[in-house]
Amino acid sequence: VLFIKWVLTVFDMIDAKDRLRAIYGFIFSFVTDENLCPFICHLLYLLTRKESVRVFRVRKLLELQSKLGRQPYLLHLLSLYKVFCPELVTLSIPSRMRSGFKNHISPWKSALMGVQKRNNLQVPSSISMAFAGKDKSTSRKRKLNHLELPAMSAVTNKEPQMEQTSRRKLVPLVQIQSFSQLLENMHRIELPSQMGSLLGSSLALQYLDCVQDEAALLRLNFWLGYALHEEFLFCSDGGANQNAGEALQFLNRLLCAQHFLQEGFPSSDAFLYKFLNVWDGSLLCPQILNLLSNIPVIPSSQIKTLLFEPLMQLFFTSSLFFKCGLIECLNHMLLKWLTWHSVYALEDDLDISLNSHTSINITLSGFKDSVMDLVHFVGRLASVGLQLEGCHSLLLNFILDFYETVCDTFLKFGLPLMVMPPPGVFYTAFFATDPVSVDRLAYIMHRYKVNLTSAKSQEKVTKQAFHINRQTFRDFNHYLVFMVNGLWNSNMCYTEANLQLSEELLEKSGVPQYSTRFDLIHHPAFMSYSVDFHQKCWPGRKDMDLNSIKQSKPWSWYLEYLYTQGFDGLKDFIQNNIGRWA
Amino acid sequence: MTLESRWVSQGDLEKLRRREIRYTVARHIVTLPLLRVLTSSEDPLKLRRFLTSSRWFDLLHMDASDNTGSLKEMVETVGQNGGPAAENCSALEGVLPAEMLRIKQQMSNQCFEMAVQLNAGKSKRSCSTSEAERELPNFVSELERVKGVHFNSTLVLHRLQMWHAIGEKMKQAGPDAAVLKTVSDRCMALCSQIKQLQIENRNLQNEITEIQKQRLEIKRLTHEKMKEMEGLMSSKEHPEKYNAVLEKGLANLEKYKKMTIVTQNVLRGILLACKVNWLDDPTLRETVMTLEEFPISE
Repeated sequence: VLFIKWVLTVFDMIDAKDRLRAIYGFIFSFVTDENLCPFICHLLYLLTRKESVRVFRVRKLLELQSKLGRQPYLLHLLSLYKVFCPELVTLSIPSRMRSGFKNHISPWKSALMGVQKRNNLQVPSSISMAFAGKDKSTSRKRKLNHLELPAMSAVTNKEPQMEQTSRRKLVPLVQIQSFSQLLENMHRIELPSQMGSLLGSSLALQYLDCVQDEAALLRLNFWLGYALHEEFLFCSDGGANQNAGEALQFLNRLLCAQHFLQEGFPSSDAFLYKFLNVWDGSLLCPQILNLLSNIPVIPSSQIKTLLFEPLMQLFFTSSLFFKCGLIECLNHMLLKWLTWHSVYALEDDLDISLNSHTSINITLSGFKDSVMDLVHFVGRLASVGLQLEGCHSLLLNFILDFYETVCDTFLKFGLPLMVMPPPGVFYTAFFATDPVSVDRLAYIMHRYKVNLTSAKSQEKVTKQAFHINRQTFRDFNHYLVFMVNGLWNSNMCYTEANLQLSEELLEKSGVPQYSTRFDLIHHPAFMSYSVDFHQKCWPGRKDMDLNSIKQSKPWSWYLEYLYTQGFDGLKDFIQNNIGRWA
Repeated sequence: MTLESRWVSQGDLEKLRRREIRYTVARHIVTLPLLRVLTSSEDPLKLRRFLTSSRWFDLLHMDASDNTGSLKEMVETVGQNGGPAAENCSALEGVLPAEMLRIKQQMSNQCFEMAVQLNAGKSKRSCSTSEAERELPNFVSELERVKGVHFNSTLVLHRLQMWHAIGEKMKQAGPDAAVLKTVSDRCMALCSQIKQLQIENRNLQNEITEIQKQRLEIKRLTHEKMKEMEGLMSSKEHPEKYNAVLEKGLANLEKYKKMTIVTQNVLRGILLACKVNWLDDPTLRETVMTLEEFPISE
């Protein structure tokens, strides 16, 4: 038992794995021994290739299973066999299985790590785009670190001449140096023994993506899930400082791989759902948020429990910067979902497969539901977040970023869905004290109008089934009227549903002419501009009367002045909604 | 009662009998109609009040030996609430023990029914948890909406007053106004910079989104092409004339392969079963290393 455990612990460092494979049959014979069974299964899992799956072996495993019951290690081995040769294994394997074999060896592994660190072995920088061949593996000492992406090694160490006997010449992936070589040998490539090494090279990832080999994907996901769980969910020993650097590097590599492939891995998604429940919001924050944004579309029924509840808890108890980071992360998530939709959804209402790895299908309406859930969730977070943080401009900036994405869903991404911002966001942005936010709000309203009008005209032309809810139009009109009245007509409406300020209250506040207080001249955001303009326009005047800007000539000059300050959103808004081409 | 009669003296038995009578009579005559009235009114509150009132407890737990007079009073006052008077109290002193037991049993049944009704009344008033859970999100959103309205109104008022004051200050020509002016000038400069950066950012983000869309498109096309290729490759066929020869050759190969595989397995079985130490013998070791080598052609 001890020997097998030792072999498992140092498995990553073994170079001559092909020899182990040669005695696969002998190792398999030990399966019947009850004490050794779990460890043997684990070792076989690591060693199995397609050729090792034989009928009599499958039969033996099934026999064992009927004797011992549905043991997880047997199931894992059988599932790997099934992936390689589905016709031989007719057992139904539960689709969602616990990750990995039991960690019998983790105390040993951590002890080994400790010893190596003490001896100060060299950290290999072998993970690079161009990977060398076998000679590297013999000369350089490697530090066993289960977070380190293992170097790619060939499955067989024999000389290529020996392979003439077999009909198919398999070229180990480690020998492919460039893209053209990849193209030549596309159908003959043999994957390395350590799937984790694939994450480090873009060539390998490209190959994996093209070929869609289920066995390889299963192995990769298993390894990834194992590594993530080991490090983050079960880390028991090793100083947090030492691990943080390695963890950071590992996550960065993973992010690069995901970014390259433009999709996430199922095992990393599963890990994230579990991790969110125990995360404190500060450990490796940017990496986790970036990983989060790579999650593919979640069906509407599960999104609440999987994603929204833990995120809500984290959001309301965190600092301002985390709030901003989270809003940005959700913005990117939405962008990725919309991009994916615009490329993959060619036909309406058909089942479209989610991404190349999973087999979950989602319909167009399901997708729209999920997107709407996400947008409403962010709206809620935004309203309450702004209240908590006292309308902080940085947070408002990120929130307006999000709504810039939302307002263009129809024209930029072809998704027939329009969602208006909630009152908590709109009014806070309108009454903001910095002109940048007000200008952005104007831009967003302008884009909403463009999208809504084009959607409506398209509806008339093609008579498609999609139509926008009337409530959306009503909300938009309401906001628009409010904004124009306030900014342009100097006729601010204080008694509407979302403000509810009565006349007496306004009288009591002691502010004269309160209906003009939020127009372009007196608005808190633009007051400094109007004062400055007044001084430039009438330099000699001693007493400042801002209302004198309202005369027709100075007014157009004032607008021009505002536009030159860079407020193009305001320009678009005024020109398109008020029709004033200054 | 019969058990007691063996152990208790005659005088005590008499006392006991009398007490029993009074209890049962009091309850039977007074409280049962009273209870009937109360339960018929279906007001659990009244019922509960009565039950917890001291009168009831006194009535139940009273000691006959000292309170016969007060019993009458109590019975009368309680009876004033709706029951008949208890003049027949003394008339029923000659009732048999069996009768008393029957009345006692009836009493306990009616108490039980009362308790059941009380519980039913309780559950009717409060709503079930599933209903509450369904309504919870509505209440939460309503609460948030109202909070939002309040927050917005406070914000508006605050901004109104604040900026009115700042405006007034800036209109005057004092030193404060100068300070305010410099600050606002700086703000304006910063805002212009921010605007420029934001416009740049927006353009770059648009470009990035476009590029990502194109890459995803290429990926999708690659997948389609790969599927096509796989389809083509699997349906590839050899030219006609080589068919027979090829098939014969393949069959032969299969045969020999199977033979080799079987021999390999047999050898492996023998080695395992006899626990032969093949490590030490180099030639044997070489042979063993090659046992797994043959790939399956299927």
